[in-house]
Amino acid sequence: MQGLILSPRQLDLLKTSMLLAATATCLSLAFGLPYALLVERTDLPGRSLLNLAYLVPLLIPPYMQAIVWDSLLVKGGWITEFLTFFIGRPCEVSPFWAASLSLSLAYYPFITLLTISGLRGIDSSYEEAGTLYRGTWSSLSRITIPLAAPHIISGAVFVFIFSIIDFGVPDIFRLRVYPVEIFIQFSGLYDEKAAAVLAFPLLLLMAGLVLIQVLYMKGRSYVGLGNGQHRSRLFSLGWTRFPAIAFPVFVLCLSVFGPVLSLVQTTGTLTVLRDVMISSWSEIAYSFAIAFAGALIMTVFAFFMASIMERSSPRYRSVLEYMTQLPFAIPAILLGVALIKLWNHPVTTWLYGSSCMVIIGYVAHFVPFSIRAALSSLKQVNPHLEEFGHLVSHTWFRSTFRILMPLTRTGLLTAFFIGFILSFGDLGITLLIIPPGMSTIPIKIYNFMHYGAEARVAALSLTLLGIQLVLVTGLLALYHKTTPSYERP
Amino acid sequence: MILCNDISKQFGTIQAVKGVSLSVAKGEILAILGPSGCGKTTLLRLIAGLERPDAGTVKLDGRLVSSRNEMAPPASRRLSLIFQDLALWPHMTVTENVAFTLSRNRLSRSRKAERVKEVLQHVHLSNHLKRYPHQLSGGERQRLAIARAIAPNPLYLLMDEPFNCLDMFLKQEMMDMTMAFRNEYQMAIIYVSHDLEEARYLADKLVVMNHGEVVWSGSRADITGLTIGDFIDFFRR
Repeated sequence: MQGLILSPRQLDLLKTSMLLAATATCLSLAFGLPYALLVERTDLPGRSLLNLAYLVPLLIPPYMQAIVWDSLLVKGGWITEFLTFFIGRPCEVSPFWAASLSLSLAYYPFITLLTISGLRGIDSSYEEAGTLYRGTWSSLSRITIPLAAPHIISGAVFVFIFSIIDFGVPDIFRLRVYPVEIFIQFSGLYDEKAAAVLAFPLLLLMAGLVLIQVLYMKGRSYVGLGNGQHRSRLFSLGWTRFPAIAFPVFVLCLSVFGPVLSLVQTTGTLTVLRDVMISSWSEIAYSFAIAFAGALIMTVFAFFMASIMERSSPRYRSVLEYMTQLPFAIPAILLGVALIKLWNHPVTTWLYGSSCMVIIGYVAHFVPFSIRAALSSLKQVNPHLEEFGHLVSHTWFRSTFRILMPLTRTGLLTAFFIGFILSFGDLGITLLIIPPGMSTIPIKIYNFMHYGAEARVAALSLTLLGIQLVLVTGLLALYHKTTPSYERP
Repeated sequence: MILCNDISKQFGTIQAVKGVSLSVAKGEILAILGPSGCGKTTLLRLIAGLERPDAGTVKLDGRLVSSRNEMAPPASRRLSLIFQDLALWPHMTVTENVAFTLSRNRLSRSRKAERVKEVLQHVHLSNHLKRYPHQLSGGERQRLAIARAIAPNPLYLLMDEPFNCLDMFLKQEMMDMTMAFRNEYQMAIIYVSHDLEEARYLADKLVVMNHGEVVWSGSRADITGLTIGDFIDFFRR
């Protein structure tokens, strides 16, 4: 056992996995941090549109980025041809760098999202006090960025964890990292013990990382220390105002327009797209149904869990925070294996062979994000509002549903949105625990990929993207239409 | 000298400041009194360069620093502002909070350290150099805010209800400290408050504002004769 854990193969796996995650994190920071600062803290033209646009890459699952960048950078795509022509000798990007780029383009929105939320929480008087004594850039680097640092670092840790546990991207680029090796051991070689031994160092690492993050964030939020105005202060870009748009547009080209155009080009004709959509109708409906059910359960669970955490003593809150963040750090493949071991018994066969297993898997893996969204919304509710509700309501149920839930509506919708998107595009968990005879869109994409049906892969990917885009737009429209006046700016 | 001439500022449909003119000479304290939302804070922000006026001008020692078309950066105005919530940078220690304000003085590293020490000694915070703002008591935070404001030797000091939530003993100590600094550095000070007694104690001149306009102004002698009743009458008009 000790030999297996400390074997050269294990060390090599650890090295590749860590390097891949670290490179993806650095690239994500390079894309996500300047993007956030530009759209949130400067007078960049088109800020409001760019402030929404960075969320679109979240709809593109990492393995879809990998499919595109594999064809563009590794398999002799037009970028490779252009580089070969430009340099004058055959040029191919290594799978490692292509995988790092794919992961970073899929996950940089987490850094942008968290940085923006950090920047919005900074009391504007801190920055104004800075501008009285220093210039714009000095205030930005010495006041604004350090105040948002806990959020930026938290985003970086998220990206690192996401990248190290990702299965789809390294599988497409044929990189030997932990999730791929665990999958091969379990699903290819049917060696459960070897899979468990392989997973051990990764689990330790993940548990440590989540602990560091929880401890680092504890008491480090500077949000709301002051009670001044919360109107953000915009730094003037001067003459660079228009040229500066190039950066966010470049990032969006890499993460959204480029991949979508490449998918459209690979699909070729509308007939392929139509055929794929017609033949995948049952997968589309099934993916939607289980993602919807999963997201709904996650939202309800997240609301009650967040309420308990908010009312706990600081000590228990830290423990609960750690416990509720831990599941997302477990690789999806490993979680799938654990669920199979747990439920594959004669007594629970009825559940094991049903779609409930997939929903349980989604909830177990993605609920930490829903809890975070619900918690941040609950923190903004003045406790007196709820306390007064309890004074005048006969039942806890009534005050919770009439006062607390409407006030945390935005957070709950976000929790649902995150849960749905992550479940709808999931590959790792679904791959192992989907009941026989059923299939989701990501599974179908994965199968087509292994048969080399590139046009069908691209057409299905576009279908997945289109459905998500329509659903999210509908959800946003509904949200805006039903937003009460007290929540409008 | 701080000179505001017919200055106005509107936020959407709300006229926050309407044609206000005032002047404060070197070594003078002007108190601005008025109810909440009367435009006192906006006026201070206009003078500090944190807002651009819609009309009128702000001049500092004859130099035009704010108008509808011209805005000198706040850092070039040689003024300090004590915010209502103090706005002490929570990620910086006591020393760092004060040292950060000294960049425009172009001091050497050693001179800068000396100045920080000197100012913190002045406000009796020399024992808390490595502490963060959240590790200080309410009174200590107020003193740190004052130290941070006077460290760069500003020519003008703007104070936005800085002693609002202090008990009467601490408030007295802070007001005495403000007077002492005024006498030592001969700054032009604008002090915003809604407390007539504070104004009576500190001010050489008084301006009363309501609905964004100046409704009364007078000298120290005039303030002495003012009663709370007169004061309430200004706001009823």
